[in-house]
Amino acid sequence: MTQKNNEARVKRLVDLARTSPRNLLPSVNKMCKRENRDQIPGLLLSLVTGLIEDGRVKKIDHVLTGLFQTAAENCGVQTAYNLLSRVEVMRGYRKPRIGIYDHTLHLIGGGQKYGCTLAYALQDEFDITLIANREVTHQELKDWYDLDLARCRIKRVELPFFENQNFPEIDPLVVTRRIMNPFDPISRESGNYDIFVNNSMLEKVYPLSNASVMICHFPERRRSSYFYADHYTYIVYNSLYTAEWIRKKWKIEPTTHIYPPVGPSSSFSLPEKEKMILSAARFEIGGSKQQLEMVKVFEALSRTFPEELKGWRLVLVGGSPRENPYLEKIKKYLSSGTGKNIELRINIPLNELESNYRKATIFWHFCGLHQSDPALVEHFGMSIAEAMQNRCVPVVFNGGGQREIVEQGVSGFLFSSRKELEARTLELLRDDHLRHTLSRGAYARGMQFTRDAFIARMKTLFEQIMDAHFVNKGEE
Amino acid sequence: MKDNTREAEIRQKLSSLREELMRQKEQVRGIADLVKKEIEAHYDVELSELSGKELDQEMGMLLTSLNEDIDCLSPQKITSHRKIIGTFIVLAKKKTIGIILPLLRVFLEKQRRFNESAVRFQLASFIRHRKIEQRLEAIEKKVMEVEDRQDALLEAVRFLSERSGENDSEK
Repeated sequence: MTQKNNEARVKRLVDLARTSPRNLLPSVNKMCKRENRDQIPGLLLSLVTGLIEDGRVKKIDHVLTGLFQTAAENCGVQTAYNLLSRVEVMRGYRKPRIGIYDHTLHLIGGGQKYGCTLAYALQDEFDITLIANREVTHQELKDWYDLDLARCRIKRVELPFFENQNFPEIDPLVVTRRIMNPFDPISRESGNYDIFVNNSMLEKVYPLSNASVMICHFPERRRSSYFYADHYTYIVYNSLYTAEWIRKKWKIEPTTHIYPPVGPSSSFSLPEKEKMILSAARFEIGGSKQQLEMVKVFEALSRTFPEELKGWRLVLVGGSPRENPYLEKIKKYLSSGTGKNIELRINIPLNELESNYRKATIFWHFCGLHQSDPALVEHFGMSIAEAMQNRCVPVVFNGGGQREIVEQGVSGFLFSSRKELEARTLELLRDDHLRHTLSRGAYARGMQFTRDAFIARMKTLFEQIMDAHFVNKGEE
Repeated sequence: MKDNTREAEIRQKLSSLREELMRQKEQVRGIADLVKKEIEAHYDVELSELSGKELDQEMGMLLTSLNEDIDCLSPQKITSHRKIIGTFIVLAKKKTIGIILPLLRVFLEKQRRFNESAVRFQLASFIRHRKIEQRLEAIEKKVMEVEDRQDALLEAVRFLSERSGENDSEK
């Protein structure tokens, strides 16, 4: 069926509504029964807007009631609701509504910062609701990410399956086909918005809104029970590394690449750099960030090359839960007297962390070294970009998203083995000129990942979404 | 003026229709019923594509499922999806099972014992496999550490020999 034919058909129905309103609904009903299921919402949308714009149809309220009821009977009540929502937004009766869901919004993290910055960027043009499963406040989000989200609502949708069984966290891994999908309440909630954004990469939520966006920070699970990622209109990915794994694990093609927001949006002055090698990463219980390995490497370098390492210290900064066997292991190792000039700074406030970034000269990041599980390799590496914005020279593992941030020998060094790491670090310690050159390169590269750059890209994406789904083009 | 009134009426109408549709949405039970179409939800995992960690998780889940299904004698809930004649169907099913079950009990009891042994055997194999893997991982880690130390020593030797060479030439 060509677009022209559809236009003519809609015009005939509008004429029918004017001349013989009683016959309109039977004709529409017949059309719904005959037509391809996917075509119907578009045809009905054109018909509704045509009827409203015509201005000559009498008893328009009766006609509209009948039409939406016909849509509900043929395509489901959600489809009728979506049709109505599109008409409202297209005619400018209200702001478009966006729901941004994150099942871990109550926890601090890089992925959550991504979603909150998106809400911050769009809160003036859209009516935004942050959907969470556990309690979280505006103040907490402001403290964690330095974002004022006062114009966004926070709505808590409880998931009875997880609440009733007292799961400490909402773990999608426990969901199998033997149980009803516990994320159905979120799918239902998604149907109340014009655009639904799933910032959890939680593939078990079926989107019911007119347009939907899945933000994937890494596909943690494969296609199995209740897999709906392929039903989203847009799949946004945070790095090329993530995109590669979306293709491998989910067997779908992601649509839009937007790097995460990192660091400040304005420039700032830097104090004098100190002889400090910095690592900023969570002390993961499983040790995936490899701080103990860093301690061992620094210690070995200090022992073998005391001249070069003279005056240098290694500072390990990061968050940790109260009970952390991995952190205890590091502390025990250091207390044995082997690790000199090594400092641990656990759970320090944001301003202190920023101060460390400003003072450090070299930034180490080992995440991914000796790992075979792709999920444990850095998917992007926000801390690396932040260090680079502070003119630290990054020496990071050559894998995952880190390859996309650091350009070898231009804005830092990538290493694949301990031997290479030691050689690159020594090179930097010995050569002041190289250090300064790479520091300038690191700064230039790091500034490509700012919050402002992220906001600009997100705004462009949402303009495209509005254009594709909420602008009347006569026919779909 | 007339246009404005009409626009306001339409707006008002859409708003009341929205409320009505919201009410109707709440009454619909399933997600697929909301859009009146079938939604494919389950995919079989390609086991050969899984990483070691993923295989562990998958095996854990499969073992849990097997464990839950060991007892084929456990009472099953008898239901029917039919609205009106469903009650009669359930009654008929209950009657039939009541007659057949005592005859089948001997065979089902044997099947239950077989299931139990099979699941325990699977679990034992899984644990044994895991232990071997852990040992292998520890050995691999040690080999890597030795290699790293060897590299560091070689580097140090190379550096020291370069230095002693420089010192000799200065002398």
